[in-house]
Amino acid sequence: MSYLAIQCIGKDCPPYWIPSSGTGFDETSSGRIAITAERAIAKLRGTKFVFVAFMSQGSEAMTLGHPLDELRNSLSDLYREYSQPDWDGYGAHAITEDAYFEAQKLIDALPSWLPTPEIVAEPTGGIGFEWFKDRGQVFALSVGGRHRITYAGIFSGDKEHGSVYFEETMPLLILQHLRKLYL
Amino acid sequence: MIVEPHENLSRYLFSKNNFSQAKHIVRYTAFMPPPDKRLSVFRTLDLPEATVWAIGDDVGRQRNKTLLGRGDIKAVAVHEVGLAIDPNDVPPRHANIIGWPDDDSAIKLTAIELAQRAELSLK
Repeated sequence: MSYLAIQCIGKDCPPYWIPSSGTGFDETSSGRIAITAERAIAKLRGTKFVFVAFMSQGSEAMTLGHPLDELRNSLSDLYREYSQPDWDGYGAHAITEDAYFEAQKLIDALPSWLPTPEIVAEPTGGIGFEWFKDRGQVFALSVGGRHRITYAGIFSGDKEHGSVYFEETMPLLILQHLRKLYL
Repeated sequence: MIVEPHENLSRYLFSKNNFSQAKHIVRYTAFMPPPDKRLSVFRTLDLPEATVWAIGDDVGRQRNKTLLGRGDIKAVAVHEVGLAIDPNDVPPRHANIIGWPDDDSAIKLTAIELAQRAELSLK
């Protein structure tokens, strides 16, 4: 039996990875799946964002049009491309495996209302996440596999920088800075 | 040797990680210093465009990298963010941006501020 889970994403919706109950389908009933998905999406129309997850018993979730998947793919591509030293021609350190795993955790902790950041390699070997809204409105944070988020931002003249502990959930201070950028 | 405030400094770019073609901006990562905290730039004031690119190509050859672009900033911008310029002229026209803070987050902020003041040119 396979399951179809549909979740809304918007400003006040729950984070991406809350498990949802769904409707069971015979695996060959692709037509029923498509119709049910269409009806569900119609009901959710008007929310800021919708994604659909189709989960088969015993397999990993497959999502359609899910921005976090694209972000995870970007992270994997980045790790592959910048895992050699001197990738910038100025002696940059290779991205570390610890930084890569910590960046994966950070992606999982991103709130659903936030625009997708750009993922970049830092010459320190860390992985950066950059939200560039406009010139004069930028926020960047990075992880290096040491349970610390190092951040800095410019918000139309105001400047902030610092570091906070990171384990599983996005620190409140980081969310406050990101809200300053977008809300 | 003094670097005048109006002088142009070019930071050559060899990795697409360090700029966004879509947004036409230099990323802050292009201006993060190496471990010795000496950020390499070239003084390119009044040089023909072809010469500016030729210097970058030469730097790339020495580092076994392909030049992709450059980020140009004025010397005054470096001073505005609290840094200094050390014109060692090795090779000719080379300088290092020095005086970086010790704190990693302060370095990140300074790099963001420099990137904000930079103009991207693509090869």
